[in-house]
Amino acid sequence: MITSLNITSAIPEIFLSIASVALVAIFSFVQSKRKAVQALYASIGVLIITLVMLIRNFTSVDSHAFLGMFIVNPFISYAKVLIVVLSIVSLLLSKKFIKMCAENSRFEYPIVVLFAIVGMLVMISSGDFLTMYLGLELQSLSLYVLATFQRKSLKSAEAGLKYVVLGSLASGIFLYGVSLIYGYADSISYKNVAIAFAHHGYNKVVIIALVLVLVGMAFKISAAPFHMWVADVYEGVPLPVTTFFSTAPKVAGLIILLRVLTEPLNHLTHDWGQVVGLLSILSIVSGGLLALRQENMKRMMAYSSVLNIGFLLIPIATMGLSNNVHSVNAHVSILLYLTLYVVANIGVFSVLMGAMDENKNSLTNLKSFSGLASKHPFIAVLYTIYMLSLTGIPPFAGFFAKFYVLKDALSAHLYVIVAFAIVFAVISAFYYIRVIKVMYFDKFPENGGAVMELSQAGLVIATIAGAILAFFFLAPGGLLLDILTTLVR
Amino acid sequence: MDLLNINYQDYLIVSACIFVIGLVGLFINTKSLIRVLMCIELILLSANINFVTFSIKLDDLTGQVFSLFVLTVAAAEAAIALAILVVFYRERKTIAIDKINSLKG
Repeated sequence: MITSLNITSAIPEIFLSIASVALVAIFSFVQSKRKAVQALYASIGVLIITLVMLIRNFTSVDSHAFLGMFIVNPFISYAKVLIVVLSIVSLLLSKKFIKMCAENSRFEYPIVVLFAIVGMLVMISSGDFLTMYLGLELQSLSLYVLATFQRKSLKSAEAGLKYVVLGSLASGIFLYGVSLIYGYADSISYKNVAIAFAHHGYNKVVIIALVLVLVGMAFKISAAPFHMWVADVYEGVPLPVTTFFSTAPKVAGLIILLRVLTEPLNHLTHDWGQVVGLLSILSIVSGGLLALRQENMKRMMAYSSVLNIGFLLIPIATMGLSNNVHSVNAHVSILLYLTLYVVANIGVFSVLMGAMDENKNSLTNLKSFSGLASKHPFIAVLYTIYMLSLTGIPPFAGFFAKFYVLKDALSAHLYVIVAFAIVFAVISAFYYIRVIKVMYFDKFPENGGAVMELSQAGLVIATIAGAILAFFFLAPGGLLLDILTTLVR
Repeated sequence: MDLLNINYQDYLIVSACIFVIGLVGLFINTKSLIRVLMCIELILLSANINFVTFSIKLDDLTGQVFSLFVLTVAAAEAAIALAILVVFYRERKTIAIDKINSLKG
């Protein structure tokens, strides 16, 4: 029994939430034309301080706060650091968008991002279902607001509306599942729920609860067949918001899915293993097929994210079906895949943000990239690296991510899932490599071709992302892999 | 019949019915977005009935605390959903569900 509050391990989250409320209060009274940009810099500053605190908080053992409602261990800390870094990067990329909003002197965008991050951090280090639900809702409510932030645009409003309706439906279904688990296990803390299942076994009601919880969480990470909102939301919202949506919430959603399945529900491995395996196959198939006919880069990346979520679910299904919830390999391959996938995503979107037509309108159609290689050879090379990495062609980083995921599944004899994964990885190569074909072999249009105007931050971030993906194989002995393995152990 | 002697299973059946009404209402409703939001409220509140019932049955306060948090979150969610609905109405001049169709593909 843990009796002390022990708030030290929760200090980064406490700081971040107080700082974001303080920023709202302060900036409501600031009278300045550059208010929005100042709010952006202040938010990035707050995030950097949080990052330092998180890194200082790295402990080799589990530490609990708030009577076990809040848990920190190296696995969770790594995910938190990843989330905060991704948020800093996506805020750096959104300077132009914020300046555009500043015409109406609206400074809230970076601060709402901060709230979303508080939600994610609390969610992934939750120790019981209440903390997790509150974190999940804080994250979702902030994301709904972000989706609708460009409120003069019909597309943005519609995307926000679809997101809020389907997202709240998912929360409701999830909550109903949690209420059933509470009724069965007489507790909402992960530890006690696991103990209750170990002692009393489980019945059909628990299976229903499990399915409801899984459906709710599959909605949040956009795994098929609950992916219908993802393409519309990605397309409708402004590009910086798409960048944020496609990175940090995916990391948080996947980590919490993994924790909920392996901590409170660790005696139901066989049941959730089958469900997650099915979700994984469906995501891989629908992500692979639906992206084929997309002409819009944002929609293509949305379905590509469904495909990648399918790949990310494979290690979880492996853990479930081989009844080994403490598998180090599975944890490491999830973290590795997530890291490399979000790096590629950040790269793709940071370059996409620079694509403009002559009137400075954002271009996201694949056609507008025709002949890009003749005008901007460096950007074309970067884009080639991202696409080859997403396809999974060696020696680019994406290959290693896919390799570790599939190697693990093969040694657990999950041949069906691996077969689907490989076939649809090949099919997905068609649409990834089509981007390269359009850039290098199509003619640059006589009039109305894309003008690439990357901001300095955008160019630096795109280059770093490209370098990580291209030179990952050079790192001695798989440096990242070693670090991750030490963390998980 | 004494109201206090209702079996706790009956509460669970009521809550399951409300949950299903909310879920079915979401899918067969083709008219108004307000009804969609009402159905989502129903789903959240059915979970709340569950929490309170289990809390009484198990003699454990956690469920009641949870249901208070859920009420708060549901209020915040409704506020944000209605705000987004207003934003959408300003741009589209309607809230009919079949008019939400500018994003396709």
